[in-house]
Amino acid sequence: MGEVARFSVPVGFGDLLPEEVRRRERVERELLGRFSAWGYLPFVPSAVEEAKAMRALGVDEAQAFTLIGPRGELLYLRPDGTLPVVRFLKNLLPHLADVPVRLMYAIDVFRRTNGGGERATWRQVGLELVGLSPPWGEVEVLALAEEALSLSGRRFRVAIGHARFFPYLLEVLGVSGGKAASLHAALRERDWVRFRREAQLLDPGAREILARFLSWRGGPASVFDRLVREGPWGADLPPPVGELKAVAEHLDRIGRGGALYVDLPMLPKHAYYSGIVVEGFVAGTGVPLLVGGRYDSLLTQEGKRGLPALGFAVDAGLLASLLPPPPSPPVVRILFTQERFSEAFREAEEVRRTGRVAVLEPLRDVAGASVAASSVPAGLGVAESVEVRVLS
Amino acid sequence: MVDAARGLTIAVPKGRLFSEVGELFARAGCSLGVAEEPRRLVWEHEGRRFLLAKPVDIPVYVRYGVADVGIVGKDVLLEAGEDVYELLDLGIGACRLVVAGRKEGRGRTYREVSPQALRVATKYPRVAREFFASRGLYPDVIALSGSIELAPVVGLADLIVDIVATGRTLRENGLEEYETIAPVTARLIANRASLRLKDEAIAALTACLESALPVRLPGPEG
Repeated sequence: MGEVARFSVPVGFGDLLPEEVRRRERVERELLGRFSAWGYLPFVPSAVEEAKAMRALGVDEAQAFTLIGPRGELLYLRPDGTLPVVRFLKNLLPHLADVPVRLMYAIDVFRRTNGGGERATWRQVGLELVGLSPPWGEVEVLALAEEALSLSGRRFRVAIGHARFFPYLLEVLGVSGGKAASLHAALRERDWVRFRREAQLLDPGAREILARFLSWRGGPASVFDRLVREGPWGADLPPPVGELKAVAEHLDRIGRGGALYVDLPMLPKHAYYSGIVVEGFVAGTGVPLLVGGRYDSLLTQEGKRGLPALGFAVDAGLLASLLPPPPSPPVVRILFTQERFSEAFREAEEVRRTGRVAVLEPLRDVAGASVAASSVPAGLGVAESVEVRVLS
Repeated sequence: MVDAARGLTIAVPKGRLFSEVGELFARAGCSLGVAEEPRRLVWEHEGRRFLLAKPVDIPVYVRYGVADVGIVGKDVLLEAGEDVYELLDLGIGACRLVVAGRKEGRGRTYREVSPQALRVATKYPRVAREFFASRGLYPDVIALSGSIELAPVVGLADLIVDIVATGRTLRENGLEEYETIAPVTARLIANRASLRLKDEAIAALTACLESALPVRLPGPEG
């Protein structure tokens, strides 16, 4: 027998087998069901975008998956859900007056990897809320983030920070130029050793505040109390923190603030975030399950005020992997001979009407005896309960 | 305080750093529970779980959250570029990442060392590329996994980028240190999720280790 040719898929990609698909579909249904109960409408953004549009919106070009279009133009596979939604809404801006727009999506997104076995594609289930300013946009989105993370059935925390807080702090401390850039870089790279060393070069007042800044993390009440006691602003919290405090208080009032974790050293993942930034973490996973934030600056039109907008996306594949497989529907396997095909077909219809799965399989004639084909191909998984009926 | 650091999984490095890490943890009052490098790779002691791993793998274990925190040299972190938090300079395992080459090349520019394509052998290809790129040079970088000093001696490369503690191995092979790329010490690193979900335990461990550091390191370097 000749050797079977094997074809592989590019690094970072792969196939999803039936059980994984069923797990993921259940998670998607659950998430989209919850989002739609809050008024979110389904939306499927284009899978391919013009590079110039994505660049203008601030895509991370180093991570973009590029294609060449029919006229030689550079195209990107969608790198996330937010930017295509923004591109779509930007064209509608003149008509988006005062009505909040709520969109939700379940899409594959693509990012270039370094080839070290990392994924290049993710299934994101996300939402974008346009038209609500702080705190109400944040309250809605964080309540939904909590609902999404609670699906994991595990302990979780919703970390919130603010894109404008660290720049505000540096301004208050009088730190600017190269020194501010170095501190930003160290914080972005999560290198707190370098951050402290950079801070050591500043005057004693700034040094002391920045040393404390790294520990401004924890439950909302304790962090806000510490900021009043330890910050250089007296009893009036800085505006970005005031915003977070209002959001935390509203969530607390409706019993949805228990998992909030204020994390002021957390910098936004994307440069386009302009307000709250959110990362959701679930016990037993090393990476965020949910990422999002406010991006008011993206939905602006020349000469006009921008529209407030925020959203988040859940890594649906990761969430699905944390859950047990969904139960399989019972399967009835009906084996038939040529003469009894019509009867078998009618029986299958009857079985399906009861909510069960009916599989029709012809019996093969092998050496004078009727035999059934073997079961489901290896690797594709089998139904949990199978009843076999033979019509021969 | 030490009790509060229970429940953590801590990745500790095999090899030259292990005994220094053991001493530091003992001084901090949260002993590893083993006198010397064990054969088993996972063990528990006083409510903490320890993983023994190759230094180069420690950022990977921490990034994926298999370990909440880990201890690893700055050289490995510079090369790995993994998405982890670098919490504390532990001051142990001090050495430096350097460019070195044959003794007779000392004092010459890199272009003079090899007017043609410069070849650099290293266990740190990413660090080497970034360092030379910052000088406007784009050498052929040859990735090796050990005995880097051999490469210039036998003519495989013009230069090496490697870590050096005393410089003795370099000297014994007729090599000299040309330039320091970065000083290296061991760092306490943390996983992004653990930092939020086990923040109190990680803060307690960080405070204990900080109180037991051998010296307070001055200066802005690193």
